[in-house]
Amino acid sequence: MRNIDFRYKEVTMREKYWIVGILVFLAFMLMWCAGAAQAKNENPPSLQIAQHEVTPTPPEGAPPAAVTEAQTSGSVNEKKPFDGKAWLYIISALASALGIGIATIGPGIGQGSAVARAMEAIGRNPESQGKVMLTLLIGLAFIESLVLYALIVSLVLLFGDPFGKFFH
Amino acid sequence: MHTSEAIEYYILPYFGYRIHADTVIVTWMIIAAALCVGYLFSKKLSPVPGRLQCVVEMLVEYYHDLAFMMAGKKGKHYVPYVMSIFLFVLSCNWLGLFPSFLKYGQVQFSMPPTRDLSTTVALALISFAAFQYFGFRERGWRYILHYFYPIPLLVKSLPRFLLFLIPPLFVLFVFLNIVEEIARILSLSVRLMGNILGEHIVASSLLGFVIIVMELSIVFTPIPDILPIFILFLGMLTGAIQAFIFSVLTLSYIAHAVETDEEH
Repeated sequence: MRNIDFRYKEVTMREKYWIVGILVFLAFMLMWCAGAAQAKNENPPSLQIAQHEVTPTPPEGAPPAAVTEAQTSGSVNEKKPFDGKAWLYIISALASALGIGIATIGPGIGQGSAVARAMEAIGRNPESQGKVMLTLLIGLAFIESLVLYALIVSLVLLFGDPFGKFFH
Repeated sequence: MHTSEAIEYYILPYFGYRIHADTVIVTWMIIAAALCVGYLFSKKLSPVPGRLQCVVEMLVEYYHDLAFMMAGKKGKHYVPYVMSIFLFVLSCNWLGLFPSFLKYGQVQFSMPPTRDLSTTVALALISFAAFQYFGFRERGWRYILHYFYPIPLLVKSLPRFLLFLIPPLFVLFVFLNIVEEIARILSLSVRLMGNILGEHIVASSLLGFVIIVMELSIVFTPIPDILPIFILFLGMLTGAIQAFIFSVLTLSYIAHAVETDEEH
């Protein structure tokens, strides 16, 4: 059985890096927790960034019906029920997110296979690197434009509000 | 900075039209800067090039090789147009990496003009006009034949009892060729705009994340400050590649238009 004495064991460079890294990480975690606790104690209103008003403001000409209902019922914290336009916004956000997510699948696979074949070609014939890279870039741009059409549709759904005129 | 701020514009009325004033202002600024830089560069030209002149000459030689590869001997006539497109789009794209300083009221406008579909559609229309012009200049009235491309081959090769198919096929192929020209404009403009706008939205939402974390006062964490650097680096790469692709596609369309070989 070996007699192991840890007091005289040298600490290698790798172990030094590990120790310093773990200490720095622990210090950051400590600072993070302290900052979070401080934020929770001092300024809770700053957490209201995440809250959004779901129902949009009515147009200027329309009578403010919902406001008068809320005033007559007397409770300030009562939430408005969802109207049709809120569901329109929810469905638009879902559709844009799902659409761009689905649209990236096929071109991603296509770009991967294109790059793989270009790599094979360069490996087989290294002198042709310039031509292969040029053709590869142009082909990737053509594949990428498919995703960008979906991106435009998603952006229009998110920010353009194209179906808002059908709801009041 | 909010995410939707990447697609907000400073809109001015102009005889019933709506003008994106920030796009126009930044575009004129870029044109002025490009004129100044070009004048300064061309004033100090020397047969023994310095460093800057070496870099610019490498770029020009690369484009000359590209044009020779694509369009043959007459390719060098198209290099000035293609390179000016490249430099303009490159400076537009890389302007998005800087924080914006145009401010109107509470709204601060983001910078790159290529995030606006108007700019990219204008560039694509100029490219469209360019390859029509070069095609007519090289091939004369025969350039019209380019629009009903496979019909002469079909007239030669079809057997006689199928020749009644020629008139409907003529209409079909002319329609398809015109649609192809329109699709070129659409894909050129939407590709550039979508890349720059998407990168810009991602960068601004990451900056918004930084601001949210700072407002939650989670102190001394450099992680959210480091995050946008990577996306800005990616934006630099994207801007350069998109400018290159726009110019190279324009060059290849021009080369396709000036081909005198009837067989394509």
